[in-house]
Amino acid sequence: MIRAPLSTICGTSEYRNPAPVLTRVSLADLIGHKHPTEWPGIIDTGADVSVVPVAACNDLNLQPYDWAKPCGFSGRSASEWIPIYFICVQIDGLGEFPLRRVYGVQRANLLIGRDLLKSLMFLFNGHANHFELGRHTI
Amino acid sequence: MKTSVSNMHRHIEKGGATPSSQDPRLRDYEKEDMAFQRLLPQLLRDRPGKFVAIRNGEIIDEDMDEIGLARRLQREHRNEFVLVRQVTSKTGSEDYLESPEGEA
Repeated sequence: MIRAPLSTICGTSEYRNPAPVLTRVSLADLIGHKHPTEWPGIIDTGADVSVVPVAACNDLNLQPYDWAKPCGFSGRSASEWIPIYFICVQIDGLGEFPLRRVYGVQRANLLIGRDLLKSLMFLFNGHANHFELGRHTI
Repeated sequence: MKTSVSNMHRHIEKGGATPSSQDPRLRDYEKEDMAFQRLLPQLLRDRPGKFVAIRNGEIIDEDMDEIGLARRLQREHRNEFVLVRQVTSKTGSEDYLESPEGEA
């Protein structure tokens, strides 16, 4: 189980309000090739699926297997087609999560969406300024 | 996955740019997507619920386990675009990134 303070910084993103940010998230393909970089990842319960830096997918020599235009918070579809990958997200302290539908976009951090969170327990304690993420009941 | 198809068709119907005008890799996507649409009626009879992998207009692999299928594709077709779709008649589901961070 991870217990960490909330943060207003996630990579190059700065937030007005503190957010649940995982500091060490790795990416790998589904057959064991791991990217050497670690990225921060914001836990995003508003995201149906996870989003990763497309540069990591390119570095891992992954090909997209589909393309789509996801809907943003404004209710509009994205203006450009976005590649979709199979990828394995590795969270330090929690393990590996092979994901079946992950968007690759130009960004310096990850959005950890509900496709991954659905197998975990997540507690956001804003009053105490921390969050908890674990595989079992917290 | 049906989303992308329906969105693309809607986009084209509206007179917008075709996907291939944005990224050269989307030309392969368009080609394989058209093949999937062509094959779908037969697939719905023969392989309902399965995940199929389409390359050069033909099914090259299939599985009920999408991750298992993806592992094989990452081993055997590393440098090629292979479309993966589930055989289903459902259409219209979309992916939602309902936070400002997800706005593309």
